[in-house]
Amino acid sequence: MTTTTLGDLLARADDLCRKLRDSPDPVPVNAWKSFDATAYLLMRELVGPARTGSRAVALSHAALCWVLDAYPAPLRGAATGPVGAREAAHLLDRPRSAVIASIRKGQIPATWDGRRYLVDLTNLPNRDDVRPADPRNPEPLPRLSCTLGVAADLVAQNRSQLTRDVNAWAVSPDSATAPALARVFGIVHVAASHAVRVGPLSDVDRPLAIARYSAKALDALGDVQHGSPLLATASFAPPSNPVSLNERLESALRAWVTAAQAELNRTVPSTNVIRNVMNQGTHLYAVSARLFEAAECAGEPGGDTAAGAHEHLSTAMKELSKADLLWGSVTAAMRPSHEYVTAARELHAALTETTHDGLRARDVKEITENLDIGQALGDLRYAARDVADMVRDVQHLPDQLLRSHLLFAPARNLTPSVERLHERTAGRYVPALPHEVSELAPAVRSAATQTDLVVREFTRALSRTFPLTMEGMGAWRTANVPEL
Amino acid sequence: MNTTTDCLQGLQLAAEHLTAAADHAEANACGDLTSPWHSLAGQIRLIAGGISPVCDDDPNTPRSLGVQDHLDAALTALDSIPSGSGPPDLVVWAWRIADLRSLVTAWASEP
Repeated sequence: MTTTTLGDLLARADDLCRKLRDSPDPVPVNAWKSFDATAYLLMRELVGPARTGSRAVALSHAALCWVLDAYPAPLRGAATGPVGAREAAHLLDRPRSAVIASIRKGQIPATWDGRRYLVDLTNLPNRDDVRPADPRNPEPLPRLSCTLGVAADLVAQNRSQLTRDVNAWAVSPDSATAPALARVFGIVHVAASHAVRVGPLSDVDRPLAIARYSAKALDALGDVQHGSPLLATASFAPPSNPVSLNERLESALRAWVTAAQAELNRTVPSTNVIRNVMNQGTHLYAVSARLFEAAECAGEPGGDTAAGAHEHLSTAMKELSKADLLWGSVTAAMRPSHEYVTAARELHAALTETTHDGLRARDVKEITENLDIGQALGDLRYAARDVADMVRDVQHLPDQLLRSHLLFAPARNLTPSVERLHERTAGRYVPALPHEVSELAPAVRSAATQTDLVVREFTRALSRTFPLTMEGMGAWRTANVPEL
Repeated sequence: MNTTTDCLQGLQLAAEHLTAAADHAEANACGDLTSPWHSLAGQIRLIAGGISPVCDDDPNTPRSLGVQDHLDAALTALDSIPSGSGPPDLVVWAWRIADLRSLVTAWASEP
């Protein structure tokens, strides 16, 4: 498994905190600074920029911003990117009004986005140069810094997925952020307290301030829930040269998801790709259902739950197949990219090989001999979530494309009219009108609902059948985290 | 002028054969969504869309052929387009069809 979640990384950080506790060596000032800057970077990524919009959302988010703003004059490490004047003032340890005055005088380069000034971190006046921790350093604190740095990157790179996960859990973004932030505060508190304890005395001022801050911040967050969808936010690093069937499946799934997302992000996606996403989704569910069956036959626990997942998978397969068929009645006249077609073929081969030898369905013994079923189902669950996200995005396309006259169909299949007479006779394509393809949008919406249900049932079934495979919000998957 | 027309007709014919091959593959699945034929149909349609994204799904192509025959016919149609007169990625699409044809051939040779 080469999938790492935020929960995995925080679990690893917890382990490193335990190692740190037993270390009698003084903390070098540079190691502390790296940790200090990286921990702040992670917190900043978790909290995100100030939100506007509804008053309730702004106020709820302001509570987290307030906790973060209390961080004692953050050190600046390798962070880049734009920040608002408020954050810039915080980083410079100066009043916001003074920073805005400097911007207006041209002393700090900034841009105006229509509502606020944006300052690139690299343009802020330099203070102490803080270097990131060396990943080859075997000491616990640098390793802890690296782990938090990776976590910050993961949060920054997966912000859109993170928003989707939070929406799927039907919780507010801040309720989802608070538990993860609380864990980071806990880690920071342990590291800072350790630095104070082991000294040297001349270098403990900063760790002491951070230890006091983190304790206050933990109290300010109050009682937060234990789990959070943020902890399941995953980063993937499939093997570049896959050998085993598990590796090939994982590699093919990730390559396909990446290519499909890129295709669907085009202004006008190819309807052939949309159809293929539905088709591959059906195939993926069929393989998942077969693997659950195989796991049940192989004596894994959670048979009833697996049966429930099987039922949802079958329903979703039918809905996807129906949507696939209806998408075939129209075309956006866009070709699929070669990258997508290659990825789709690889996935088709890997999925077919998982459950079939040619046309012959493999029996349970054959499947278990060739495959680590738990690991494969773990990878398929992530892909099922991605399929659900893609189908959810696609559900709005029929209306948008039809209203824009960008979906075409043979004139002979559409309502006859004088304007279409020539095209009809010549066998040409004409833009379809919304009422002429009225079944498409409801079919895609229904598929989106079913694929969402599949993700929930899949997760539940997997956590019962293979509890150690599930990330379980990162509680027990430290073994999956690559060694830093 | 003629070459261009021939090229477009060749692409259209290949796409029609591929669509017919996909329909046959779908029919071979007999409605079983877990059948390898069903997923293969999706792959064939994807390639058909790459060759000609506007392809009438009710062509005049004879339907009495099987999946393999239609794939062969599609490949022949593409190969008959003179070198240089088709799209630059024509050879890639032809390779993809040949890849699927070899898969179907392997399946056909199974007991």
